[in-house]
Amino acid sequence: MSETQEFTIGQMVLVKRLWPTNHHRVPYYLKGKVGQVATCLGPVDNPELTAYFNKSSGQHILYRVRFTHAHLWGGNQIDEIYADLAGKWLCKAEG
Amino acid sequence: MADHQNYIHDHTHSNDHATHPDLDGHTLSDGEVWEAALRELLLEKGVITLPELNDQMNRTASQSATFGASIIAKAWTDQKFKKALLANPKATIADLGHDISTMPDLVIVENRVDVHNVVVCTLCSCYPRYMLGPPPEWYRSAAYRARVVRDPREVLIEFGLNISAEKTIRVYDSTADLRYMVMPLCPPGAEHTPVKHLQTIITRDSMIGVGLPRLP
Repeated sequence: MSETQEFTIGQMVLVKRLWPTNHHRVPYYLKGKVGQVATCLGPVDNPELTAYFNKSSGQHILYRVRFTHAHLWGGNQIDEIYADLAGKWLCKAEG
Repeated sequence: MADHQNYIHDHTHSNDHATHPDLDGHTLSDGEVWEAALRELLLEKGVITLPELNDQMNRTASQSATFGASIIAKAWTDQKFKKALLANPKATIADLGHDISTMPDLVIVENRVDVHNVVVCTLCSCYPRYMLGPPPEWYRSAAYRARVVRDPREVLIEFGLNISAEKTIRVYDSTADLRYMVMPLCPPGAEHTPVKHLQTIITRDSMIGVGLPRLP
């Protein structure tokens, strides 16, 4: 089962605060943080499955998400961090 | 000196004539034991052959940032190529006759007068080896990976790069299967320099984002 694109460019998204023990590609410092979708990178193989040699469950949609340094670390207003995150790790940010 | 002697105490040959410097005077880590076990099994069972292994190790060791620099230098001098390269890096590089079809996907981020880009992989140490060669040790260090997302300005100052407070520092954390590299800005006045001279000023560090092209 492949996902469809769920988020649009410019949309604010919250990174889910989940702590699975299996392989996943979400750094801890981004969990629970709010970012803005910069680009949709389209469907890619899901590393949470391919890490275990399982390619049977399809791909997931990857988004490049922009976070401000101020939000992540309370630092300056102009620096930013971009990370590539799977749609299943994101949800709509409130407000 | 005492430490050094401890390292070689179990070797009968002179340290000046090490036959396998990778293993000499060194206690194997768990990871190295696993690597050796896997490698020997793959060879024993014929999954790979020793010549194939050596060829691949040679290919990997022969990759260098000179290649990445030549691509960036071409982009600096050829706007059409640059546009294509930024839009579709792998296909554009392949069009030059390089076989990179088996390499991971690549993203090239362009520095701007108001944005300075830096690349890191906080989760492991993803790096565009086929463009930049083997990664420097510091790139894989926990210190760089942790600090460059947290305090990029200070880390860049330690690399000798003082980014103006008005300029955005944009850190790319390569969390997925995409490899990132930076296209630095061409230094003013260098636009009409021949490509082969330009590529010598485009350092590895400038394509990671912790340096700038060096004018002679």
